[in-house]
Amino acid sequence: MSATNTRGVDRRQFLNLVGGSAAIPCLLSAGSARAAGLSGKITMIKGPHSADEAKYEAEIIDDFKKANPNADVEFTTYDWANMNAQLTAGFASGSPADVEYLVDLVYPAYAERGLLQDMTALVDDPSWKSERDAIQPFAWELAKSSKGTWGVPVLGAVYNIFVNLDLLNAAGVADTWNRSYADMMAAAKATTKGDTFGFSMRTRVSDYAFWDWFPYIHNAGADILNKDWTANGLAGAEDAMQFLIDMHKAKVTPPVGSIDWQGQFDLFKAGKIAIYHGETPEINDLLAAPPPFKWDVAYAPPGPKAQTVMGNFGILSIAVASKNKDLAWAFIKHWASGPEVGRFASEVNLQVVRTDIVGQLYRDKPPMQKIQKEFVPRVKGVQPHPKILTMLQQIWPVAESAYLGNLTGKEAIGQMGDIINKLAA
Amino acid sequence: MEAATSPSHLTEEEHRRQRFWARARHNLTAYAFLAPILLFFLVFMALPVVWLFYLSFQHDGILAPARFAGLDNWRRTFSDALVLKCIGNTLYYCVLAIPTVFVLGMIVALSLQVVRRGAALLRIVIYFPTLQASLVVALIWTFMVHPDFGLLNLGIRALTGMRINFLGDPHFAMPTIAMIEVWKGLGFWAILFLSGLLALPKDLYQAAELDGAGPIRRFFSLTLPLMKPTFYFAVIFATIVNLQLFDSVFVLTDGGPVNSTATIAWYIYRSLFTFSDPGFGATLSFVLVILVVALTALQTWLLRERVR
Amino acid sequence: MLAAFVLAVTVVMSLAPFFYVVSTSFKETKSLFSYPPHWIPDPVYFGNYVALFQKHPFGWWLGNTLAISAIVTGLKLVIDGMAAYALAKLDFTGKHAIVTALLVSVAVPLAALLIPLFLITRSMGLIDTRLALILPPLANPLGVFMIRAFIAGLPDELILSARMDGASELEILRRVVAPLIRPGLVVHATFIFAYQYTSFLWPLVAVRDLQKQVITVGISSLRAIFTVDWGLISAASLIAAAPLTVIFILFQQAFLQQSLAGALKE
Repeated sequence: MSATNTRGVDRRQFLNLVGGSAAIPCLLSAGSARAAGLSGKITMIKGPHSADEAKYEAEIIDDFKKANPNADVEFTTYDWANMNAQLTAGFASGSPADVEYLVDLVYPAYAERGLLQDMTALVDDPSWKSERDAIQPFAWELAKSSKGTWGVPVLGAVYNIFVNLDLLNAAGVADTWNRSYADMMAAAKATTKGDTFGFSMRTRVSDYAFWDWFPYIHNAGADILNKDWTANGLAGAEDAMQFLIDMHKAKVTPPVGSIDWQGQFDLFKAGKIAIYHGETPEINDLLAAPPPFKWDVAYAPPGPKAQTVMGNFGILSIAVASKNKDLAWAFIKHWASGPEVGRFASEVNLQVVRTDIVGQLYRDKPPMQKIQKEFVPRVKGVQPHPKILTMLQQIWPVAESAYLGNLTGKEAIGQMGDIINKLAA
Repeated sequence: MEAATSPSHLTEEEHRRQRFWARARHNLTAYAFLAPILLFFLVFMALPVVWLFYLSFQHDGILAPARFAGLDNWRRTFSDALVLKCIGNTLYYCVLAIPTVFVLGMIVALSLQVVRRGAALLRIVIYFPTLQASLVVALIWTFMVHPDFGLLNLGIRALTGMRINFLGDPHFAMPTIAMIEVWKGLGFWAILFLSGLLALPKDLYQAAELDGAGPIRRFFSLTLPLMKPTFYFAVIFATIVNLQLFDSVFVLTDGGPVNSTATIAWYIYRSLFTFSDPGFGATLSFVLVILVVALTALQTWLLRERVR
Repeated sequence: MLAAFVLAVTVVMSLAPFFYVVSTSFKETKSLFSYPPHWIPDPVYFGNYVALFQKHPFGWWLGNTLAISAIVTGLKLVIDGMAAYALAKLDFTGKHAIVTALLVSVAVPLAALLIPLFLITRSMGLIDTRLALILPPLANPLGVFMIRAFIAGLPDELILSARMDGASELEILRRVVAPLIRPGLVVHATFIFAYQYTSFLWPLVAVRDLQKQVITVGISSLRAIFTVDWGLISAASLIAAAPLTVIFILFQQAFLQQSLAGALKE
C-alpha cells in the first residue's frame, strides 16, 4: 500500500511541475508572494450544515485573512440533494472551487477520475505532524485509497440511537435492552403499546436509510465490500438482516415507509418511540426543547463480531484544477485547526475527528460530549470505494422489499451481494 | 427585379423562375419568423442534444476522457431490468395522471366559464399550486399524507377506520405522486381548456339552445367536437411533460419504495450524477425521446382517425 | 349552482394544503414539529419573516425571480408567437424537419442537458450572471407548440384576405392573429411564467452568487443537511405569493378583458 502511495505522489508531483512550468508568470508571482505571505483569491464550496452557514464560514475566513491580509476566500455552497450535479458542472468546466468539502460517500468518485489533488505529500509534511496526529486514525482511513490521500478529515455526524428511559423503565428493560439483539427485540415488544412504538429506524432511500442499517451489518463482521474490494463482503450479515426484518414484522415499528425521518423524530419527542435511530445533531433539538421524559444516547447491541457505531464524515480536498494550491492548502490547514473546526462544530452540532479538542468541546452538552468521547472511537464508516454511493442506492430497494416482508434475510443479502458484485467488477 | 408581365405570355422557363422566387420569398419570410427561436434553440438545445447523442456511444466523457463504447449503453437499456421498470412506472403514472387532470380540468374550466365576478382572482387561486417550489410541495404533502394527522388520512380514517400508507406502500406510492401532480397541474389545464372554450363560436350555441338542447347534450355534441384542436395539442403536450416526471419523485420518494416510483427522468438524473454513468444516462434520454416520438405519432394517428 | 359548487371545492382543494405552510411559517424552528402538531401557532412567531429579510437576501431572490420570469415571458411571447405563426400558417421548405427537431429536443429532460448547457453558457462568459438565467430558457420550444395549436385553429381565409389587402406577414400576425388568440397567449404566458418561476436545477448550477439567485434556489439554500428550516421556507413561499397574485390579476385583466367581454355577451 505504501509503495503505491509513493508512486501516486511521484506522478502527481511530476504533473504539478509540468503544470507549474507551463505558467511561468504564475510561478513568478507566486514566488514573490510567498516572500510577503500568501496572496490571491480562492473559492471554497461546501454544503450547508446550518441556515447560517455563510455567517459561520465568514468567521473562519476572517480569521484566515487576519493572518494572510493579501489572501481572500470566496465561500459558495452546494445543495445537498443536488451536490453531484453542481460538483460535476464545476469539475467538467475545468474551474471547480479550489477547496472542496466532500463527504465520504461522494469524494471517491471524483478522486478516481483524477479530479482531486493527492495530498499525501502535504499531510506528511513534518511541520504539520502534530496536527496530523491529532486527527483520529479511522478518519484518515476514510480519506485514503490505495492511490493517495484525498483530503483532510474535519467533521462527522454519528448515527446514534436515542432511548426514552421512561418507557424502558416502565417496561423494566432499561438495563437490559441493549445486551443483545434478542433483548432489544424483547424491549421493543414490551414497550409497544397502543400508539407507542418500541423501535424505529429509517427505511426510505430518500432518508438515507442505510445509515441505520449499517451498524447491524458491521457488527456481524460484514461490510459492503470484502477486504480487497473485489466483490461484496456481506457474507455473515444474513442473521442481522433477518433480525431487522423480524423487527418490522413484529409490528414494533411504525409501518414501513409510512413516516419519514423527521416524522419519526417527532414521534420520539412526543414520547411515542422507545428506541429511536437518529443522529447527533438532533441532540441539540432535544436540549433546546426538552421532551417530557428522560432520554439518553446509545448504540446498537453487540453483534457476533463487533459493536460499532455508524458515522459519516467530510473531508477538505483540493481540486487538481486549482490554480492556487498553496493558498488552498493553507486555508485547509486553517479550517482544520482546533480552534476553527471546534467552533464550527459546536455552532452546527457536529462531531470533530480531532482528539485534542474533545476535552473542551461540548462542556455544556453532556450527551454531545458522550458521543464525542465514547461513540466516535467506535465508529466504523463506509468504505470509500468510487462506487460506494451507487452501491448503496442500488441495493436499497432490496432492503425496502425485505423490511416489507417480501424477502428473508438470506435472500436479501444474496440479492444485495449480486448487485454489489456487478458494480465492483 | 423582374418586369411585370401578364401571365399568359410567360414561357415555361419564366414560370419556373417566378415560382422559384415566390418560393424563396416564402422561405425567407418564414425563416425570418423562425430566426429568433432557431438561434436560441441551436445554441442552447440542439447543440447539447447532439453532444448527448454522441455521449450515448461513450463511456464516461464528462469528468474523464470519453472512451468509445459502441452500442454497449444501448444494449444495456434492454438488459437492465430497472429501465423496463422505469418505463412501466412512467407510463402507469401518465395513465393515472393525464386523464384525471383532463377531466377535472375540463369540469373546472366549464365552471370558470360562467363566472362573472372575481374570475381573475379565482384563476390565480386555482393556479397557486403550480407556482410552488418543489421543496414546498414536499413539505405540504409530507404533512398531507402523514398517517396520524395528515388531512387525507384524517378524512380516510373518519370514513373507513383505516389509514393509508401513501408513500411507504409500493402500491400506493405512484398513485400518490399522480395525485400530487394532478393537484399541481389542475390550474394550468383548467386555464388552457377555458381558453379553448372562450374561443368557441357563440352563434352555434345559441342555435343549439333554440333547438332545445340541454347543457349536457350541448357539451357532448358541440363543445367536445369543437374543442378537438385544443385536445389534440393538450394530449401531446401532456404526454411530453408528464413523461419527464422528476421533481416530485425526487423530493418525495427518490424512486422508492422498492423502485415503485422510479421514473425514466429520475434514472437519467441518477445515472448522470449519482451513478457516474453519463453514457448510460445519455442513452436513457434517447429512450425517453423514442417513447415521446412514438406516443406522439400514435396519438396523432388516433386523433386523426376520430376526426374523420 | 353547480359551477359555484365545483369552484368552491376546487378552491378549497387548492388552498387547504397551504394551511400547513401558513401554520409552519409562524412557528419557531425549535417548536416546529410537535406531536400531535399545534396547528394554531402559540405563540405566534414572526421571526421567520423578519429573518428572511434581515439574514438572507430574500428581497433579491424575489426581485430576481419576478424580473427574470417577466422578461423571459415577454420575450417568449414574441419569439414563440413568430415561430408558431410560421409553423402554422406559412408554407416553406424544411418545415417538417424543424418541427421534428423541436419535438425531439423537447423530449429530452433538462437534467440530461445540464452539463453541456453549463459548458456552453460558460464559454460565453455568462456563468454567474442573470443573463445565464434568461437566455437558455428562450430555447425551449414547448411554447411554440402551444401557440401553434391556437393559431392552427384560426381559419385560413382570415389570413388570406388580409394578405389580399396587402398586409405584410408581420402585420397579419400583430393585427389579425394576435388579437384573436389572446386567451391562448394568456395560457402561454401563464405557463412560461410558472415554468420559469419554479425552475430550480438550471439556476442552481448556473449561478453561484446567492444575491443573483432566484427564489427556488434561495429557499433550497435554507435547507441544511440535518436541520431543514421549514419555518423560513414556508414564510418565503408565502411572501412570494403576494406579488404573484397582483401580477397575475393585472396581467389577466389586461389581456383577457376583451375576450371575456365577448364570451359573456349572450
